[in-house]
Parts: sequence; C-alpha cells; structure tokens
Amino acid sequence: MSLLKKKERKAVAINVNKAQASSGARERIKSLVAGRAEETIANSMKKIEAEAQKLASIKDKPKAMDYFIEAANIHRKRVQEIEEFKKQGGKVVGTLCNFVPVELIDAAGALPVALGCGYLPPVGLGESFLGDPNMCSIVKACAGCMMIDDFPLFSQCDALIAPAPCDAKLKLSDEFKEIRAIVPMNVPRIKSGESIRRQWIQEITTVRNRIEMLTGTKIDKRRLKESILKYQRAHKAWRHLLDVRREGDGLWGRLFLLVAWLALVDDIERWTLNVNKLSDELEALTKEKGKAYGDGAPRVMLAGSPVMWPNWKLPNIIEEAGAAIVSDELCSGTRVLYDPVVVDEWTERAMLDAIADRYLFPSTCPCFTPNTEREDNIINEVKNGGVEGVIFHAMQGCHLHTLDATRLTNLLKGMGIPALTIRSELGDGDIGQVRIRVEAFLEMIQANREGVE
Amino acid sequence: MRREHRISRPRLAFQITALVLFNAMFFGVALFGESPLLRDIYWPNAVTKFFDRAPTHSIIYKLQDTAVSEFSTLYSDIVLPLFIFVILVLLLGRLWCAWLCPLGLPQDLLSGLRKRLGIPYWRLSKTASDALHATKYLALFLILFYAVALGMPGTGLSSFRTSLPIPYEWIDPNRALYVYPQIWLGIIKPDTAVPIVSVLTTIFFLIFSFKIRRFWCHICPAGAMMGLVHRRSLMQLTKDPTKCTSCRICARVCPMGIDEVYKEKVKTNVTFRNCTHCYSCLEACPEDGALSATFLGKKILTSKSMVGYEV
Repeated sequence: MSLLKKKERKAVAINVNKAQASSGARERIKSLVAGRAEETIANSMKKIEAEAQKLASIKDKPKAMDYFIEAANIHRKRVQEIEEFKKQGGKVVGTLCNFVPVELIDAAGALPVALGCGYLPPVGLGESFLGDPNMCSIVKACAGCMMIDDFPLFSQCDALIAPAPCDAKLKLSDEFKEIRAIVPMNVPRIKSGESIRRQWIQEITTVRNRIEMLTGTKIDKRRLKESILKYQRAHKAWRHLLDVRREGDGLWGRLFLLVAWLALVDDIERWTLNVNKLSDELEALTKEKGKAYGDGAPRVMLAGSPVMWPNWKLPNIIEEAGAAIVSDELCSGTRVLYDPVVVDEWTERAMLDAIADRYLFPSTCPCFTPNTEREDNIINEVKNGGVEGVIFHAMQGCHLHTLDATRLTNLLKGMGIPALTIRSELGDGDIGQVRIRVEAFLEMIQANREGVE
Repeated sequence: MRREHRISRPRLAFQITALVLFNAMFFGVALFGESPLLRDIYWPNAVTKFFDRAPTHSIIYKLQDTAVSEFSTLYSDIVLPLFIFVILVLLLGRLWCAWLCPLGLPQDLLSGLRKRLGIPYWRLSKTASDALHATKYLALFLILFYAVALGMPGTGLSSFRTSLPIPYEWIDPNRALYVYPQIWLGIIKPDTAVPIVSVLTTIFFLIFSFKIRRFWCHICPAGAMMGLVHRRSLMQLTKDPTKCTSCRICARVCPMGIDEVYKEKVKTNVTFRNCTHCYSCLEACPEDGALSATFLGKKILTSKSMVGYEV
C-alpha cells in the first residue's frame, strides 16, 4: 500500500552545520555587531538613495528608466514584496554568484535573490569577523550583511547558495556555516575533460535536491520548462536591449549597469517587461534625438570585478569625466543574462543538461584556466563596439582579476587599444586618485584619436 | 516557425519526399515493370539491394555481391559507379545522409516518438561514440574484402560465392523493412527469402535507434565511404569563431556526438568526417552568424539568436 501512496513532501529547512566543535560564531558576531546594526543598515540605505538620486538627475534619459531607478531603492518596494511572499509561505533563496542556476530555484516555486553587495558600512564588520584585511571587499561586505539580523534581502533568505569560484567566496560559506543555511557549490576551474561536465551536472543536481528539500516541491518537467522559458524571454529582452543600445548609442553606461544589476534582484517577469519597454523607447528616442553621448565622448569598456549597487564610484567617475561606457565585461553587467539556456529536447535530463552547460561553459569568469572565453569576448566586444580604451576594475586582494587585467592589457596593447587597471575597494576614500587616473587615461584616448586623424 | 524547428521541419519534408520517391521507384518497377527511363539512378547511399531489377544503383551494390566477374566489365562494374559516387558526394557532401537517406527517416521518426514520450536519449560518452564510429570502417573493410576476394577473377575463390552468405545482407536493416511490406502487398513472391539474421538486425536497429540518436549512421558503411571524401565537398559547415561564445550547445545537440565544432576556435571549416549535415547545431546555436552551411562558399543557412523569434 505504501508503494502506491504518493510520498508526502514536507518543506525541511536546510540544516545549519552541526560540527564537533563550534567556533562560537554566534557569540562573536553578537559582540562585534554590538548595537551598530541599525546604524549600518541606515547608512547603507542612505547610500542607495543618494546614488539613485544621482542617476535620477541625469537629463534626457528614457522614461522607462524611472522604473529601474525606483526599483534600485530595494529597501522600499522589493523588501516589502519579499516579506509578503514569505508570509504566504514562499521560500527565498539567496545566491552569492552568477553560477547559481536560478531556473531551478524558480522551478521549485522559490524566489531567487542575488546578494551582490556594494555597501561600504558592513565591510568593517565583515573584516573584523573574518579576520583577513587583504581580501575582496565585496565578500567582506557580504559577510558584514550576513552578520546583521535585519539587513534587507540578506536576512530574508531561507537558504543561501554559495558557489566557490574563488578563495574568498569559498571560505565565506565555511565561516557562516554554523549560523546560516549555506549550500556550497564546487566550480571546476578547468573546463576541459568529460569528467568535469559530469561533476558539474552533479553539483547542479545537488543544488536541485537541496532546493526541493527546502521548498517541499518536486521540480518536475512542467515546472522546469516554464522556468526555462521565463528566463529565455528575459535573455531575449536583454539581447535586444544590447543590440538597440549598441546601434543607437542611446543609454549611458551607469544607467545600463543598474538595469543589469536588477535582473537577478527584481521580479524577473516584471523586469523583462520593463526592459522591453526600455528597448522600444530607446529605439524611438535615438530615431528622434540621435545619440545620447556625442561623437566626442571617448568610448570605454569597463571590465573586471563586478560593480555592485550602490558602489557606482567607477561608472560615475568615468561618465562624469565625459566618456561613455559603451560596453562592459562584468558579471554584474552585460554578462548577467547574455547566455541562454537552449534546450534540444524537453525531457528532464536534457533540460538539466542544458542548464548545466549554460552556467559553466560560456562563462567568462577569470576563475577559469585557460580563459580563452574571456579573451575572445573582450576582443570581439572591442572590435564590434568601437571601443577605444578598456578600464579594468580589480578589487584589492583579487588575484584573479588583477592577473587577468595584466595579461589582457598586454593582449590589447597588441591590438593598439590602451588599457587602465584600477585596483579599488568599496568606499569613496580613493575617489580623488581614481578620478585623476581615469581623466589622464581619457586624455590619452583623445590624443590617440588625434594621432590617428 | 519556431526557432528550433526552422531547419528540422523542412528537412523532415525533404526526407519524406525522398522516401516517397525512393519507394515509388521500387514499387513502380515491381508493379509496372522496368522502364528505360527509370534505371541506374545513382544514389550514394542506396545501400539496400532490394531485387535485381531495382532502378537505383550505387557502388555499394557491387560490393554486396562481388566486385567484378571479368576484367572486361571492370569499367562499367566498378570504375563508373565509383566515379559517380565520388562526384555525388563531392557535390552535396553528406547531405545525402540527413536529408535524403531512406534509413535516416525511420531513425528520425523514432527519435521524434521518443521525444513525444518524454524518454531521454542514451548519452554516449566520447569514448563510446568514437568506438561506435570506428566500427563502420571495419564493416566497410570486411565488405570490400569479401567482394574483392571472391569477385576478382583468377583467385579461384569465386566458387565460394554461392556457399558463403553475403555479409552486407546480414547487417542491412532495410531488408526486412522493405521486403515484408512488398510481400504483404503482393508485389513480390511470398516465399522470397529473408534471412533470420536480417530480421534480427532490423529489430536491433529499431530498438537502438529509439534510444540512441541516429544509431545506424554511426555504423553505416556507406557513411564510412562518404566520410572519406566529403570533407572537401562543395557543401560545407563553416564557423565564425569570433561569434562563438563556447556555450557547447552544438556539441550537445549533435546526434553523431561531434564536439569538435564546439572546440574549434581558429579555423572556419568545421565539416568533420562523421557529420551528416543535419544542421541541428546550426539550428540550436544562439549566436547570429556563428555557424553557417555554405554551398560553393555562399551561405545558404545560418545560425540565429533568439531575438526575433517567439519564446
């Protein structure tokens, strides 16, 4: 009889790690945070509002951007929406990297939220807890946010999925395993070989099982297909926006990068709808008014460590100096939905295969070796986008992006394209210095132009 | 038309048309007798020798029986068919395989049935796929050896022709598929011999073609012969490496298990030996202009991104 009765699935919380000995994480966090939680949250949100205000004040931007600028204030609408969703029993899964297959999260009826963190105030907290000053400040900021009980988005997640493309992210899940439900994912650093593909499919399957456990929902063929189609539509909208933007030169980089960042934070269907509106408006606008940035603006590509909202320091400096970020190689930017999941057969196995392939093989993350995908992508973008100079953004302590920047700078030199590497932290302490270097770089690009003419 | 059907649907239409023509030729001759117009229609992969008066012809026929009985017929028996074979393959490459082969259609229909039933295909590992592909060269060698050894005049072995079974008949799945319908339709005599091996081969073919995409094409000796020549044909699969994002979709959809198209980052010609020109890779590729099918260098088909198609 029990063979015939359908197994009742209960939602089971992903257990926090119960190890032999405890590092006393909870107590340490309590003593480190020590009543500064509210202040940290308030300051972080103030920064968001300030940056959003800056963007809102850009003249002649498409009206469709208003939706995105409003959505950028995540502490207003989005946080409330997620609360509502949770009240109705929904589960929220936070993702700490683009390697997480969000289609699977969506297929289980859970809400995927990207926790890309660009806030400065939590950095100090994170550093004191983790104990390593020389590491990526994005990860330090993430750690700081995870230490605070009511931090918007971070505290609302029932589980976190933490892929490990780099050492910093790898240890993040180790440090917090006692107090948060974290599912780590192994990211193979070398992509060749059949066993690597099998290993990655295994990681995806593990994530799928944990999500099913968390939500109590079986991810069946129908749900998986619907989610894949949902994200295919988002991909389509995104590519269309990229094409329209390239043809018309109609959208400033610092506005475009916000749209990209919101892709995995906002509701995906609403986001898709608004991106389509933006594309349509851009097409009309550029027909009417011509280019947003004139022929005089140096055409720059921004590549490297993700530019996380509200850390808009670099995009602002570059564009306020008169250049235009016409193209980018950022996982928080163009790359966010650039590759689609293409399914050959709508069987469960083929769909999972397709998802697995999409999240690994076309990825241009510098964590891979040999990283020909990234090199090819940058070369092609430079050629097709009419890029005159590349600015590499590398977080202090990130070996992967810094080393890539060196190699790619020399590669681009061979093509006659100048490149600048900005090693930076979250926070505005080095704004002056960065501005001077960027302005000098842009002057060099102008000089190159005159030299050519 | 949906993006994922824009090439495979027309291809299915071609396959059905080819099958109808093929059968019209056979049944036409069987029912109405030979016609001076309908004879010696050369088709590189017309591998099944249905009956003596069959109008289609291929070099493979001669290899199924004996190569040649006397030196005087060397030209008409071997040289001419071989020459025509090479010309046809140089003209259309292995388009014959995916678009015009009568054995291709049942395989694709079985795959279609499998997809409808939601049954996943058997994913062959690279090693398994390569091993399977290698067997077709072994099959070709055995057929050639048999035909030449027993057919060459002066070897003294030709007396064995009548006593040894013809090896190609043993592995040809077409035989039972075609002979029985003809018997049932009363076109040929009911006591026409179909060796039990042939029936078993047909069953084996149907079962494996259900779970493995284009199973027969992995072991087809006609495919082996065509593969030796078709890389320099006028019909080519080309790649623009600057558009490729290494997404690996082409390697995943390929029924022949070719991943070299995905791996190639420098050259533009990606027509590989085992490719049957089904263009599943081209149809699935999500980058505009990354993969193209060219005839005499001119692009006939090209890959398209999802923008512009309904999702």
